[in-house]
Amino acid sequence: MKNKTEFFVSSAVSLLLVLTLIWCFSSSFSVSASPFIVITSSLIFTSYFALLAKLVKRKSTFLLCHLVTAAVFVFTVLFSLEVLLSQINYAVNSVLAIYSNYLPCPYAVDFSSMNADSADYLFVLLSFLLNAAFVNSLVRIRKIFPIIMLSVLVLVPCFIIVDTLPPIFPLVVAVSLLFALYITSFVRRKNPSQSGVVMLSATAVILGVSIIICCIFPVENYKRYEWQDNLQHSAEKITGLKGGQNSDSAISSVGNLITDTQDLSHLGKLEQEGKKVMRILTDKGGIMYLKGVSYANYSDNKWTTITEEQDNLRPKDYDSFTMAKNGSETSSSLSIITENKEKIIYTPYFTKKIPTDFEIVSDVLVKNNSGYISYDLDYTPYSEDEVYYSSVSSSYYDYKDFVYETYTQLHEKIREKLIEIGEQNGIYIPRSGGDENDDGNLYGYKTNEQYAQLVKDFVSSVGYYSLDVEIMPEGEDFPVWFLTKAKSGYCVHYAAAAAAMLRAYGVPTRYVSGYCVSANSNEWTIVSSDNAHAWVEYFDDKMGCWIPLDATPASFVPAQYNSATEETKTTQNNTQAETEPTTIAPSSTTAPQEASETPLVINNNQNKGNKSFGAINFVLSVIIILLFLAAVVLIRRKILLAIRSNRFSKGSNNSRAVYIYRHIVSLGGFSNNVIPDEIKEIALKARFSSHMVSTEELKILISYHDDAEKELLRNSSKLKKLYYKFVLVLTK
Amino acid sequence: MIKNIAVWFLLLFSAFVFNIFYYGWFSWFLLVLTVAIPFVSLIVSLPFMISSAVNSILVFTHESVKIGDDFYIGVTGKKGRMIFCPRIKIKLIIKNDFCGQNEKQKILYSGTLKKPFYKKYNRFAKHCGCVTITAKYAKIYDLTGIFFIPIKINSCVSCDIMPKGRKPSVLPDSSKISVLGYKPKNGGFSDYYELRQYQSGDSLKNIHWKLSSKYDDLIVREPSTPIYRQFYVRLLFTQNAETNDGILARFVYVCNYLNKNGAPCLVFNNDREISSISDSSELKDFIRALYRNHPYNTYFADTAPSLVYAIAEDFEEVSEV
Repeated sequence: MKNKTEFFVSSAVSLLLVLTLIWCFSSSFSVSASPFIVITSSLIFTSYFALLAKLVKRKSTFLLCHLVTAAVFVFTVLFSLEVLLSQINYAVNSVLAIYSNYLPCPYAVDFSSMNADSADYLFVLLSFLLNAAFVNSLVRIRKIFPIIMLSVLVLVPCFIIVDTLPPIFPLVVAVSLLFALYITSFVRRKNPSQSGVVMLSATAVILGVSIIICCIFPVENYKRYEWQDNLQHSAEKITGLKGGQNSDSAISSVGNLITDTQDLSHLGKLEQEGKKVMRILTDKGGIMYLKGVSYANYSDNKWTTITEEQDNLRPKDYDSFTMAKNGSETSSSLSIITENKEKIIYTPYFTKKIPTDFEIVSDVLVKNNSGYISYDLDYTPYSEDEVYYSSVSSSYYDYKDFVYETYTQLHEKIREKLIEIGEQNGIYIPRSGGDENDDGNLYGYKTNEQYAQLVKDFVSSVGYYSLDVEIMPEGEDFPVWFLTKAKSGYCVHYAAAAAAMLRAYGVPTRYVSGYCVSANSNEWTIVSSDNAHAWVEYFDDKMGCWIPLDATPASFVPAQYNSATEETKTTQNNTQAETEPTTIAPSSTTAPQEASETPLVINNNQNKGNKSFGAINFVLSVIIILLFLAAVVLIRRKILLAIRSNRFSKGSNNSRAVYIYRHIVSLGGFSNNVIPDEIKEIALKARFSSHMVSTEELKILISYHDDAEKELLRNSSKLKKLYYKFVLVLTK
Repeated sequence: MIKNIAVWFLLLFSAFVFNIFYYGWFSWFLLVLTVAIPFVSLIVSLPFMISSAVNSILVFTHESVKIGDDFYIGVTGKKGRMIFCPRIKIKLIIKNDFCGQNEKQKILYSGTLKKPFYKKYNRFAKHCGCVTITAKYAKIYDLTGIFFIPIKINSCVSCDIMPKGRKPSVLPDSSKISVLGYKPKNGGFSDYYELRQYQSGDSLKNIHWKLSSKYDDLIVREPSTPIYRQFYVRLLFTQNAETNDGILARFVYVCNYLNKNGAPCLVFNNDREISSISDSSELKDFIRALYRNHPYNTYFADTAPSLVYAIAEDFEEVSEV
C-alpha cells in the first residue's frame, strides 16, 4: 500500500472529527448515547470505508461496493425503523425543548409510538454517514469541501442559541481539525505521499494554538466588548434585521424571544387567529390586565425598553412590580398555566410578591428563569381609595426622581404639538396667573391622575376602534398623526398616543404590552392570542406606584375564548396551537413577547406594497437575488461541464466522437471557423459507419475541440468570454 | 495567492459577523483563531520557506521529444537537500516560435524538493518546434498560501519537438537518383580510379593486374567519387502549425528514405538556403537549426542535372531541372 502515513492520518482525522461532532451535538442538546457504542461503531465504519477507498482501485468496483453498503444501510434502517424513529423523536424533542425557550418553534413533536431515552442507534447511523463522506473525501478524492460543509451542518444547530454551546474540548478539537484540514488541503492535493506528516504537524500546531487561546481568553472570563454591541446595533440599523441575542436594553439577559422595541411606523391590518396562550384561574372575576413588558423610551415612532444606562440610575431596592397597600388587605390569588415555556411571566395589578423562582429584570418585566408553565401569584385588586407603596423598599423618593427623569422624556417638537392638540380639546397645562375667573380648573394645577383621566377621555374619543387600519404615511409622527388624521385604530394606536400625550403634560408614563382578559371568578378562563393588548401606565405620586390606564375606546371588548374553536384548532394544528401562541399571535400587536412582532411585520409588509419599500431592503433584496442567480449559474455550469466531461470520456468511441463533433459545431457557430474535412469525415464515420472510430481519430477530434475552445476565447472580448463561459457554458 | 487571501478574508468576515451576533465565548475563540491562523502558519513555515529559498529551484525538461509524446517539465532543488517546501509557485513562459505557441503557465507544488517533481504539459508537444521554457521568478508560500518569499530563478531551458516520419503520397524515384557514374579523383591522377592495397573481400574484378605485377603486390582499383543526380527537397512551410508538422513529417520520411538509398539530400526551404543532409544525425541538426532559424551546412548546388522534390501543404511534387 502506497502512502501509508497519509492513509492512517486521514482515517484517524476522519474518525476523530466524526466523534467530536457527535459529542458536540449530543452534549449541546443533552441527547444521551452510549460512548462505547458510538466509538466502536465509528472505528469499524472508518476502517471499512478507509480500506475500501484505498484498496479498491477500479471506479466501477468501488461504486458497486458502495451500492452494496448503501443497500445494507437501507435494509438496516428499514428493519429497525420503529427504534430509529423513536430515537429521532427523542433527539428532535431534546433539541426542541431548548429551542422552544427562545425560538418560535414547537417544544415537542410526536411521530413515533415508542419512547426512547437514548439515541445510540441514531448516532451509529449518523456516524456511518459521516464516516462514509469524510473518509472518501479525504482518502479517495482528497477534497475537504464536503467535510467542511457536513461539519458546519452538524455544528450549526448548536450555535443557533447561546444555551447550546457544546463542551469546550470536543468543540476545540473539531474546529482545530477543520482548520488543519483547510491549511493542508494544498499539500494533500499536490503531494499526497507527504501530506500525512504535514497534516499531523498542522493539527498539533493548531491544537496548541487553540489551547493557548483558551488559556488567554478563558470561557469563564468571557465578556463582550462595547464595540461588539455597537457594531451589532449598527448592523441591525443598516440591515433592518434583528439578529443576535440582544442590544443594550435592560432585558438583554432574557434572551432573544423578548423584543425590546415596538415599532409603530408600519402598523397595518391585524388578523385574529385565536391561538390558545394560557389559562387563568382567579377568585375575583372581571377585566384583568396581565402585564408583560413595559416600554420606557419613545423616539422615531418606536417604543423601546429602558436602556442599561438608564437602568443604572434606578434605585435597585425599589420594586415597581410588587405593591402593598395600607390598612387591611384583601388579597386575591391568580393561577396561570401557559401553553408554552415562556421567558417571562405575566403579572396582574398589584402583585403582592414575586416568587423567588422568578427574577425581576430592571423595571421592565419578570423573567421566568426556570421555564415554569404554571405559577400562582397573589395580588391586591386595585382600588382608587387605597394608598399603595412598594412592598420591598422604602426608597420611594429616589425611585420617584428616577421615574420623573426617565419616563417623561419626549421630543420637544412632539411635546409642543401634542399640547397644542390637547389644548384644542380642553386639556390645558397649568398657567401661573391664568385667567382663573373663566375657569380655574382649566389652567390650574392638576394631578397625574387628573391628567390621565382627561387624556384617556380625549384619546379614546379619537376615531373608532378597528383592526383594519390605514398605515401611517412616511414622515409623520405616530401620536400626532393618529390624534389628528387617523380614522381608526386599535389598542396600540390608542395606548401609544395616550402615553405620548401624558408625557407631553409631564406625567411619567410608559407603554405596556400584555393580555387583557375578561375573567370569570373561580373558573378557568382561556386566554388566547386575541387577548393581546396594549395600554398605558402612569405614575401616581400619591401612591408611589404605576397605575394602568386603558385609552382604548369602550367598544373594545377583550376576546372571549371559544372552546369549540379551540377543539377544531387543536386537532388541525395541534403542535402549533400548543407551542407558538405567544410568538405568532396575530392580533397581539402589543403581545408581551415578540408575539405581536412577527405577524405585524408580515402584515405591514403586505400592506405597504411598494410605497415605503426601503432603499436598503431593496438593495439587499437585489444583492440576495443576484447572489442566488450567480449560485444558480455556477451550479448549472458545474453540472453541464460535468455532464460534458462525462460524455467526452465515457462510452464507445463513436458516441464520444459524435458528441464531441456536435460541440465543435456549436463552437464553430460562434467562432465562424470552417470545420476541416478531416474532422467532418471522422464525425461522419462515427455517425453512419459501422466501423469504430480509432483512439487516434478521437484524439484528433478532442485536440481540435480544445483548440477551437481556446481560439474562441482568445478572439473574444471579456464580456463575450463571460457569456460563453457562464451563460452558454461553451468553454471550460 | 489572491484566492487564498480571499478565502481567508471570507473566513475572517464570517467569524467576525458570527462574533458580533453570537453572544457566546466560542464566537470570540473562533475569531481569534481565524486571525491567528495565517500568522501561526507563517511562523511555522518560515524556516522551511527560507531554507527552500536558499536551496533554490532548478527547472528542467527533455532535450528533445517526438511530436505527440509525453512532455514533462521538471522542478527540483538545486542542492538536492531534503527540505520541505510548504508551497511553491513557479511562473513559466513557454514559447514555441516555430508553431507560434506562447503561453504563461504556473507550476504549483508542495513537498520536499530532493526528488524532482514533474508536471505533464503534453499540449506543448503537439506541434514541432523548439519549446523554450523561461522561469524568472518563483514564490515560496507558507501553508495557508497567504505570505510568500519571492526568489529569482532566471532559468531558460529548451526542448526540441521532433517530427515523426510519415510516408508521403509521392516518393522520389530511386532509379533517378542512383549513381550516374564516378568522377576521377581530383589531384591530377590519370585514372578514374583510386588505387589501394588489396583487402580481403575485394572483388577480383577490381584488381589492377598490371600494377600488381609491377609492384609484386595486389593493387585494387576503386571508383573515386560517385556521381549522383542532384536531389533537392523543397519545404513549402505555411503559417499553420499543423500543416508544418505534416510537411516536416514527410520530409523526415523522405530524408531517411534517401539516406537509406545512399543518396544525399539537399534541402532548401522558403528562404532558399541550401543544406546537405546525409544521415540521421545531420537531419536532427538540420531540424534543430530550422527551429531556431539558423543556417545549417550551407551548400551550393552545381550545374549537374537535378530533381526537385517539393513538399507542400497537402501534396508532393517531383520535377526535373
